[in-house]
Amino acid sequence: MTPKRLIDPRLTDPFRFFIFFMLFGLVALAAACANSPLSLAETVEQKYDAVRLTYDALLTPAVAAIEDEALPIEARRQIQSLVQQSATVYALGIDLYVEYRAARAAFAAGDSPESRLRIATDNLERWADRLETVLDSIALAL
Amino acid sequence: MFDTITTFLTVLARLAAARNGVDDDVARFFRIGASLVDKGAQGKDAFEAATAKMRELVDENRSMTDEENLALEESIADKLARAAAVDLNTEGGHE
Repeated sequence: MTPKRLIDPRLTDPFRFFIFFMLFGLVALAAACANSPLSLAETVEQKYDAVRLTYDALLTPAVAAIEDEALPIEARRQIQSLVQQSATVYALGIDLYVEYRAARAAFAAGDSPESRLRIATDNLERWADRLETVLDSIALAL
Repeated sequence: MFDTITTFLTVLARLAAARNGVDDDVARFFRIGASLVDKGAQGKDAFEAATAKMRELVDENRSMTDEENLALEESIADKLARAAAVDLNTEGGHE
């Protein structure tokens, strides 16, 4: 007679187990995103702050996952790769923000045309959108 | 809720680990599950803190000060450095 197993064998299926927790994570993330820093931002500077605050928040579980030896190595590698890609995009934003502030100060002082400020603003907004896309990729991988 | 689920899964992992070798895989998957739920809890807390900070900025009709910017950039730089410091190319992914 085969002894009855303590744990339902269906729980030992790794694929089902991962799907369950991926779905759980997505539901939790969706609930959290309903009221996000990005949805609150009203100006281009606040959007710049919001996307970086979101990035910092997302890096917390991402780094913890990369450092967690209990997780499968492939999953950790994928998250690490995405974080490395995001770092490149993030660094670009710092330069664009410096340019935006310089353009804004020059315009306020009457030393620069509005077109320079408009271009700097557009570049900063495009960067924020790009980083937001990268953040979505990391959130999905988590 | 996250704490409860994490505790539940950790207890199940220990129970499974306490049994004989046949349940090693079960223990492993419960450990993974508990770990993922824990990451979700960490992310949720960090995200709520970020949202609270953003609400403060909007309520005060301002963007971050230089000091706040510096603190945020240092926090991000620290996490990026930690992420890069983990060598996952070696077997097992140990640092």
